[in-house]
Amino acid sequence: MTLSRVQLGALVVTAAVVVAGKQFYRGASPDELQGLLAPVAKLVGWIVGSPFTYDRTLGWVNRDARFVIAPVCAGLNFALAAFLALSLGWLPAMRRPRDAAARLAGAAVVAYAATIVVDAARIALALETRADGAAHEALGVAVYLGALCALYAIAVRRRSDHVATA
Amino acid sequence: MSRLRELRWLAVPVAAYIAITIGLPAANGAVQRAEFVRHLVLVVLGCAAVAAVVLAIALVAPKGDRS
Repeated sequence: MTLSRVQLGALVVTAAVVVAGKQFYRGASPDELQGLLAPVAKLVGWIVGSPFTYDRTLGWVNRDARFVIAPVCAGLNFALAAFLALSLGWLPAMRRPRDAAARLAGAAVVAYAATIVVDAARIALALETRADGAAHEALGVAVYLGALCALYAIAVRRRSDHVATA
Repeated sequence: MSRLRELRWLAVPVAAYIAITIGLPAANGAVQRAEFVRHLVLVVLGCAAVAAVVLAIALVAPKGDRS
């Protein structure tokens, strides 16, 4: 597969977003991650029927369940992996700069929306199962990886449909 | 074998996940931390489990059923 200049440019933008996102996540505070933490906490609170309250030092706290949605639970790694996978999946359709910009923006929006849903499902499952330590981490890997593969499969199918009908 | 070839797409999301959760932290020196090694083992096992599930579905599903 030979990449055009537009596709190479899209790859550079994708890599820059991923590396910058990882650097940002390393030291981000709950305040800085509110864009992800707040909707995830509200969705988890709705799923489990017990609301979370915001604590500026810890994150979103549910004192009844003795559970904290901390910055490390924000799901930014999943968001970045989803953005990377979708950008790669849609790369063949990025023939013109406008297409590339639209696809990259679409990948960012889909990755963000998917992160809120998947992260809330993961946290609700963790709350329900009371998994901690290695079990909590294994649950996270299973949910994130399974959801990422499903999301990518949908993106590939949508791209194939688009190409077939174009 | 044709069904196995249909699963090549799986390499992209799995590689993206590994790059974000293993590759970049390793490049930042996380390899020296004990909990990173545990995370690495879990990610490798998770990748194997997801691949096994998708492979099982592909082998069981009727051929050509992608809709």
